[in-house]
Amino acid sequence: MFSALISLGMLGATIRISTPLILAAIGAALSLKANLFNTAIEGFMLIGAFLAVLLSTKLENPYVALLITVLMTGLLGVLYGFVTITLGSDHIIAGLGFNLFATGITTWILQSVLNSPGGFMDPSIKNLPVVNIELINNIPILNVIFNDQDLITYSAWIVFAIAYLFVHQSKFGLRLRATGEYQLAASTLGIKTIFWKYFAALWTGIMAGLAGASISLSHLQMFSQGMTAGRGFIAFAAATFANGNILGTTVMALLFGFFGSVAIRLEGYGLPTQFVQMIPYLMTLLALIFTRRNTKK
Amino acid sequence: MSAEKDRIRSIKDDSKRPYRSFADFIKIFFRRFRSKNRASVLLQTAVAIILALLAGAILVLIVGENPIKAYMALAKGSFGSWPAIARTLRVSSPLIITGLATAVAFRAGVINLGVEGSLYLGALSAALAGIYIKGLPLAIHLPLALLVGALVGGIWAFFPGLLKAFFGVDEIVASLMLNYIAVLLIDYLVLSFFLDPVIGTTSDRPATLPIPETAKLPFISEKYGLTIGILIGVVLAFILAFMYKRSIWGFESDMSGYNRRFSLLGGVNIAKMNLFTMVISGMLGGLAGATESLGVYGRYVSGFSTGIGFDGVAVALMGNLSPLGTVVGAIFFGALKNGGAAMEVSVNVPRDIILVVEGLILAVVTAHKLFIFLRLGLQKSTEEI
Repeated sequence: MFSALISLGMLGATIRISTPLILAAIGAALSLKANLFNTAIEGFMLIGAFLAVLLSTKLENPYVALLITVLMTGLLGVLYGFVTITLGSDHIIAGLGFNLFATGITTWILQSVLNSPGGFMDPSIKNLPVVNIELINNIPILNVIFNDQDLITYSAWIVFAIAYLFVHQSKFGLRLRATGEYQLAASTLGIKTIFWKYFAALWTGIMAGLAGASISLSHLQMFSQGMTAGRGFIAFAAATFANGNILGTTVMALLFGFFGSVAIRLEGYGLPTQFVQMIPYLMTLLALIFTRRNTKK
Repeated sequence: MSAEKDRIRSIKDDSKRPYRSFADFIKIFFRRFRSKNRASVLLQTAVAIILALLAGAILVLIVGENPIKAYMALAKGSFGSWPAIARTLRVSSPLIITGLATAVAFRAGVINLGVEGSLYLGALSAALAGIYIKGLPLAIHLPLALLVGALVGGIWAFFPGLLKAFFGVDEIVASLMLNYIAVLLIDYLVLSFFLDPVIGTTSDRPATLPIPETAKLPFISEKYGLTIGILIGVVLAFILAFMYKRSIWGFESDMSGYNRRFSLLGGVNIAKMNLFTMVISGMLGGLAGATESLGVYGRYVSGFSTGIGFDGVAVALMGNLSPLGTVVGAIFFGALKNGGAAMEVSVNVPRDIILVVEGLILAVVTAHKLFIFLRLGLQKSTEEI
């Protein structure tokens, strides 16, 4: 049983399940570095998942759909920033508000505009084409990781690289982190702290939108009500475990993705579905106990 | 020089300054409110509601419906007639208790977002106590079933409370995760052990056997589903209000929410307080679930809560975390939800707009810099950099 769990197929599944988690977790990490506890990610992901599928049908071009989706969730991210940074709302409560908003608005549009309550599936949904690099077809592990994946999966790796370089290696990242560490000191040094906070909020929105699109558009080509199912919270948890460190966050997200794929595997062994579905949440809880990170200020 | 003095005096004493214009009047009106804490919070809540309703109206316009018509239908459906009021109160009853559950936690500085999980577990366990304990009279059976619901809800909240109190684990993510786990656990339990053989195969929502009359909450109005659950909520609110005013626990709880360090130095056992608060909050959540399954449903119906636990957060914040304010907040949200359902029938605007409005209210209800942003006060917040 164990050897079946650790197989190349597992690796592919892990990558597939991790993609939205990595994207959203990196978004959360950027916010965390700027001292924003952005729990609204869950809602952004839901809206991202919804818009990506909807626009892909209406526009018949997945790339344009993806672009607009990401712009819209980025806008929402800025809105969240406005509410928390400028208006001074409580981060967690405002996040909860945005999540309710996302649930409400997706259900609303499903019902009254699209006339398909519960979910949305259309044969004309254009998904992103998968990429196959022939060069690595014969290299076993690289083949599973990098081949037959679509644009969003690749983008997760690119995002990881950019975010790592940005946050930990560039002077702009230093400014962002300084803002998060001690806003008053940072602003005394002439850093535009408000700008960096908004910047983080914007990127969190964009990342979450991409993550949502990867859930709906990449693999399932459909949207169902509440389909993100707490993955935004898990991503948020992944970021808090690593204290916003991009590398650590990504590793945690991969770990959660791995548990997700283990869960899917276990379903074949006669374990009740509900318990299998519980595994990601239980693992997050366990990780919380081991790392003891505090999300509050 | 004397003119300068006058100017300073006039700034000092707003109440005696003549209003220069209508805008000036509004400004001073708001500023005077800002000086009084409670009134300013009330005003902030009102502004949050108005902003959210406006945003909702814009969304209705975008979809191509008439927002005035929609809101009229909403108002009529929530308070327009006696049956409408009865239905509003019915929807409000669980919200009062989940609101109290959230208020108790938030006041002590514990962000329990797991009321939803406690609610589900409380609902199921109360229903099971009602179904499988037999031969008791109503006077014993009903309180017992309610107690079982509350206890199981409390035990569920005990986990994140324990993790927070002794391992320093953050309760926000932990309680959120436990919500998902609770729902899955209950689905498993109901589907594999307690399924009603008749309803279970015909309905798409799994349910348990019906609860016998000895464990059901008496109806105030059977037609509109209003049970004495609402009285339980109101009585609890009064008890809590009294506790916060008079009891040592209430004082210590408020103190540890207000300033953790100060209360620690003042001799409050913070770990114990956190744990206790979490359990009380969970018990209230469980009780809310119990009043639902023992009340209008008469059995445990899977997925019966459409976010009642999360609504508690909005309800409690609307009431400024005071128990009696929570009752008002619950009736407000009950009215929105019930009116929303009526609106869905009469105007082509689905009830989900209420969720949108609720979310927007939550987004700005805690915004302490809202007035600064709206330029309604002169005093700058010290936090602003």
